[in-house]
Amino acid sequence: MTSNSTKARKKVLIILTQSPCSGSLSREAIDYCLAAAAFEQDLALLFTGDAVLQLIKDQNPSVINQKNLTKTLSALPIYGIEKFYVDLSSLVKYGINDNLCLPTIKVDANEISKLLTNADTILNF
Amino acid sequence: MKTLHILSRSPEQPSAMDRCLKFSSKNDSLLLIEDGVYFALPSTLSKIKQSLDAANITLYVLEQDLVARGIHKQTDQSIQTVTYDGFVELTATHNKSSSWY
Repeated sequence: MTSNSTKARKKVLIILTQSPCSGSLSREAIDYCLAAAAFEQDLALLFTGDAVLQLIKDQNPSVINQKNLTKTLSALPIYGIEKFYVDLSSLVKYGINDNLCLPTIKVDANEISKLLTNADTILNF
Repeated sequence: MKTLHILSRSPEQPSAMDRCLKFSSKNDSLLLIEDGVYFALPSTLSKIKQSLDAANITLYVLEQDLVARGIHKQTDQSIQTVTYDGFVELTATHNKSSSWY
């Protein structure tokens, strides 16, 4: 049983590209992460483009009648998800390089290419 | 004749802002709403400031959308924020409005 589950453990790279309040995709990505984590998959998240905006602290989407994503996002480490990569160029673009809601590893385009190469499965949200 | 341009797309989809700036006239106004408010961050604002100043376009940003996205304390000091009431007022004080997305 143990050896089987180890064998089935896949390296999944989840690429997030959407801003926090723009639609349901960013929430669906987190839902997927929680489900996959329950099946003990090896998950890594990459925040690129507008998705780096999901990491901003101090969000208050209740003023536009939306749920706060940040709370669920910062709970992911509790579910054993610990690899959070963030596209450095996107952070620089928006000038938000510190004070994020998750402990992230900043990566450049070359390192992102390697993340994709090393993954068994890639999911884009 | 003054037009109120309403932009709702983030800087990651620059075509909306490009079209807006290209087709706007002198003394028009630009209101940033939804993901358009991310243009109010100093690093992204610097990319459009020159075009806005050259055409004397007044910039407004919807406060609720800034607060929702957690960037209300990080926006450029020069920016004028408006509430939903202010949004309505802007539509009333301009001859027409044009939405860009």
